[in-house]
Amino acid sequence: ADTSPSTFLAALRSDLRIRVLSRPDPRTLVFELVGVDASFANALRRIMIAEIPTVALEYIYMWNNTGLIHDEVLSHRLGLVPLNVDPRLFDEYGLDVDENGEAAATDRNTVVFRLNVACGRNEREDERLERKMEERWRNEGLVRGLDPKKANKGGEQEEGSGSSKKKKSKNKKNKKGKAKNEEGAKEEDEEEVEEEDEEALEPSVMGLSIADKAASHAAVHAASNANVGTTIAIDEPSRPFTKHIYTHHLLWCPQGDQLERFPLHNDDATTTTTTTTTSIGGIRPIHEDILLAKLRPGQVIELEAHARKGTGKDHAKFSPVATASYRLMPQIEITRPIYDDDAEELVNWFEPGVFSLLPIPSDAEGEDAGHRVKAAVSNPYACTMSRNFMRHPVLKERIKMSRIPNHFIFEVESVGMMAPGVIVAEALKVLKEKCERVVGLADESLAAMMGGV
Amino acid sequence: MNAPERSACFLLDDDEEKVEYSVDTKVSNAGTFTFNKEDHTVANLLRMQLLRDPAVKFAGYMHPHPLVAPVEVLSAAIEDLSNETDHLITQVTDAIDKWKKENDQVGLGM
Repeated sequence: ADTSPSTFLAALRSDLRIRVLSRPDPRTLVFELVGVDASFANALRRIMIAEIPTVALEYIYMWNNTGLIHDEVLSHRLGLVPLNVDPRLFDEYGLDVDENGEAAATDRNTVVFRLNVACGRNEREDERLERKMEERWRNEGLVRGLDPKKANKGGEQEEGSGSSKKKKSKNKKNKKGKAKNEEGAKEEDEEEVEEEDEEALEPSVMGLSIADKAASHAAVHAASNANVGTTIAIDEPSRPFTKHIYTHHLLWCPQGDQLERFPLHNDDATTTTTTTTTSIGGIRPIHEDILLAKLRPGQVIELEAHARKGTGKDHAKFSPVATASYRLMPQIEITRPIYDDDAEELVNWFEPGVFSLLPIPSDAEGEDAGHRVKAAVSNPYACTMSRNFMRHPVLKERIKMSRIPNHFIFEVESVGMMAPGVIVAEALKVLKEKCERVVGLADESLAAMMGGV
Repeated sequence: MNAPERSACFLLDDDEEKVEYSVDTKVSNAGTFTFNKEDHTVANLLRMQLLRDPAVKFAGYMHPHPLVAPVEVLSAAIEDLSNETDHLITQVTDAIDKWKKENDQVGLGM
């Protein structure tokens, strides 16, 4: 066959087909690609996984971590948190170089997050700590996420306190971060807290009142069973208070003009950005309920995290797809007709819908005569190539299974920062760039060589 | 413990060029393109495309272990290699443009 470039391109134009098959959910796309070579499909898949840039937390500045989770482990977990920011709106780090040759971290290439959490001695004190820093973080313009469990409950709290304040939560909530910085302030705070605690405790023995509180906790928990609180996991009076740190505790610190480029929304308005619905806006992690760490009373985490653009090649946290995969379309051939009981068994041994039973009219002639039903291939797409039929003595002689070599069924599952269709389009762009660059450079080096010779 | 930096698998060293070409002394009309810091994504694609060109007698690629050496693409061609690479650029670019157009038509984007 004539395979010169022009005929190849012409053949490609007429044979090539792309068709979206289904969208099982907003983050998954199933499409078919027909008429290309396996190397092209594979290149597309590899690029989707490894070479589409994404923004993720890269540099963690750990100021204080007295929790049980080691610094590096916590940093690793933070890096893996997917951020809901379209990477096409950001620049690559390292392009903007100042006179010393060092790359500058600008508002165009860095997203800054902070985590400032401290665990109080019990749930009430903890809430008090949270509310205390509300005003301060709001003034500094830091953005904290909505706790999804609390948002679903409509801001209802186990102890029924502070529910109205939770509803308004937007740019709020820090945990004693500033207080821990200075010794003097810390002492002040502690004294204050102790006084309040003593007032609230019943005049009788300390232990009894804690047990009482735990009992009332248990009662409330039994009542709101469906919505497990974010703080206490196991209900035992003797178990110390454990604070769970989720991604909604991460505070976004808008830099430069980031607040204009990624505006916050009012409580009333809900916006669908890419594939997630967020009622806050701005830059937040895709999921606000990812558990990062657990703290016990007195433990503190203070850190600042910078997010940069990177590719999956560098670190898997930068991959925009949960995964992207393809399979080849199966091809099932019935070499000799299959009738009646065999046909019915066949229909059951394959995935539903792959085979169908064709009734044979009573006046049929030839081989069909005298049989009830005949099996026919109706939907090979659903077949997963299990080859179950090979165990059947009759069926294994009459069916041939293979794959169509240039028909690819892709399934792309996006992590959430970009729609899956967008990821495919970006992958094609990256592939085009790579080809142009690589082939162009090959040209250059060849010309240089030839010129020299 | 001895693992190199992850970025070393795609960032060029200071003394490396992306593409280097050297003529094969033993076979006529043959040469070796060495692509530094590349992987199967582009290499296999390039090889398949080269094989489609009737002017190409032999094309293959080696991708030794990353701790050892970079990717090499061996190609033999009669007449102008440069013409051929021009064709390759056009072919793949056009094909991709066409795909992108099809993408928009079918509404792959959300």
